[in-house]
Amino acid sequence: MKSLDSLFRPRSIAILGASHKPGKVGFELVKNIVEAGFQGRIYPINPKGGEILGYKVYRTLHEVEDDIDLLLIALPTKYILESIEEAGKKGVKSAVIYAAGFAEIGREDLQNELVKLVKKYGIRVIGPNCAGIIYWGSRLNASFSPVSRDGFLGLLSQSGAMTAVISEYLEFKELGLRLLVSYGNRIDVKDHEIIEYFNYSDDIRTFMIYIEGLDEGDGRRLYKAIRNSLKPIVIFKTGRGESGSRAAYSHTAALAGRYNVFRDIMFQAGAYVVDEYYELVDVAEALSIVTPPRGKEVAIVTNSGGPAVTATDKLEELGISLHTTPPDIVDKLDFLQPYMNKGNPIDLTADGNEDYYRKVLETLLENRWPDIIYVIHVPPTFINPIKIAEAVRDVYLEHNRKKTLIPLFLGRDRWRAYKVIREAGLPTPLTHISAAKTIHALIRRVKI
Amino acid sequence: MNGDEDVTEIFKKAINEGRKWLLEPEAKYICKQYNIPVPEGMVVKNVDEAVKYAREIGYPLVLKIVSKDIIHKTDVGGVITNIVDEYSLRRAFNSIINNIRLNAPSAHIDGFLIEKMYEPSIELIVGMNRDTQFGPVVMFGVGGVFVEVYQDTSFRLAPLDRQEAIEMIREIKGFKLLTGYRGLKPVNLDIIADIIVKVGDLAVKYAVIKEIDLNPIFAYGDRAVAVDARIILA
Repeated sequence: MKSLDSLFRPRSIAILGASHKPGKVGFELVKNIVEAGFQGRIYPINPKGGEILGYKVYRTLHEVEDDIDLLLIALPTKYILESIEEAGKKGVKSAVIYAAGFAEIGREDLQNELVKLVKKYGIRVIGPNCAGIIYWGSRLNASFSPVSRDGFLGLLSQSGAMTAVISEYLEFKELGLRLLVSYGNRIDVKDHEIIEYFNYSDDIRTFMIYIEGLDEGDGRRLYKAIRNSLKPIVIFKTGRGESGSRAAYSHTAALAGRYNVFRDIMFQAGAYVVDEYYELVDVAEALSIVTPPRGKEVAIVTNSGGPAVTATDKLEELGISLHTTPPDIVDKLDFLQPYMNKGNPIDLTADGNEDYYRKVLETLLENRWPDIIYVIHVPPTFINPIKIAEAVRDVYLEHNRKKTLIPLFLGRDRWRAYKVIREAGLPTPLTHISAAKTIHALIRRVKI
Repeated sequence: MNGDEDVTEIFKKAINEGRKWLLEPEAKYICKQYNIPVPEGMVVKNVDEAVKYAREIGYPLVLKIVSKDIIHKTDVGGVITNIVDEYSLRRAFNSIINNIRLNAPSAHIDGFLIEKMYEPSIELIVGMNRDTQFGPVVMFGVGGVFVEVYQDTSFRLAPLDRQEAIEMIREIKGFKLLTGYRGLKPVNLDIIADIIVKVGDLAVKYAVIKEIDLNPIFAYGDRAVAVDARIILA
């Protein structure tokens, strides 16, 4: 297999079907490439010739007197096969095919022909039926998806639309993608290759994978790639309806539903499997930035009962139980009012202002117990959540982020509070479930 | 002849006979070769052999039909449990023969498997399935007749090590059953983990095996025994 350098670190890009008209796919692609600040050579191709955005337009691929690392094919389905044939003869190393109209609409025949050509010429292909790729490491934006800001997350997605859903939430959280691969029908380059290729690139901290299905035999390859991965990997898989084989002779075959098997084996490999896209982002964000825990002891600090009980419930569902605050820590919490609960959860009640939060966090950060501090805040009318967020941020930074801290701010002004929280390099989970899964994922990574 | 050659012979024989599955005594023989505990037992041709063997190992016993034409033995009345003495053993023999005549008249009877009967206990399942995406996958779960109803299972890729097997045991909802629930003896997890690891090894070593069911496995404190074993061939 040829390296993926030509895809992710191309020296030259040609755009087949480049267009002069803004709004057309062939124009937007050239524009995205140019605007991203790509440093290599750019060759728009269109039989009409002329110029696009200041770049000379070549009439055919063969007219370009240069080696082409990456070819973007912005042409309709019916021209794809001949384009690949042409690219193969030219010696193009890799290509992105955006057009739909292959196996996903029942045209397996067309896709099989495409696969044959791709293998014949050894071109590394992303697509067809995809939204393309972005890799800020080489200032490469060869995609139609809403341009994400640069960041430290990688996203591999089998669906272009899901990419857009995830991007919107990332944007909302002011998070960026370092790498995006929307691989659509995924006829050539597979998830495991991408994980392996970027394993030693420090710029991507965590991989998010949205996956609908795996091709035959690829499960084991993905398992190995994840097992060897130096980065955390979070997966959201759909298509859970597929059950095991009903006509099976054995109970095992009947029970081996696609989803159960997939989920358990991905956990075995060391990935974390979530149930929806917001969790995907929340858990990936947290795994990228939090101080990893040294043990599994969780303490909840809260200002309200309901949210604390919900937190306890969600943790218990994941097999994480809270232990009561050790006596020496209880003693150190003697500055709390008698009606404030020193057990676990530590409940400051509605009177829990920024001073109480600060002092409790100081105590928990300075002592051995716990390993993970889970801070919940829901502001009553007379408390400004921004003040609480500032206290959490300050005390955490003063203590050099020495323990794992997971904040969960809910209610009024939560996203303004989260902006402050982010300044301490802390994650900003959407829900109790996200927060609980983050803690679960962190605990699973603790090696004892 | 060593164990591995024996095992290969068993597969060859089944394939030559056009069978897609192993007879229970064959499956259990393979288990024994891999140190997966199965009940003490023997295949007999007739009731007199059965009675003689029963005198050696004692009661209570289980009697099961052995036939290349019958995969679901219970469905045709081919299994009788809780045989407590010679009289009930002779009666069980006749019942099974009658049941087969009635429910599977064209089936050829290859023999009878007579085994020591084990006290009912916590029922577990260890299985293997060859997945098109993942290859051999091992399953552990709460076993018994209702295994497909409860669906309380966990999966791992084979081969797997003891630690991974322990993790998959801990993962099921029914794990509490194994920790000394309501006066039951806590089950030594290493013993169960061993069985899981060996099923994984079997799957990796013999590509001809498509599916394995050890169900139920009776688990007692420091002992476990696979009282039924099914091996399906590719």
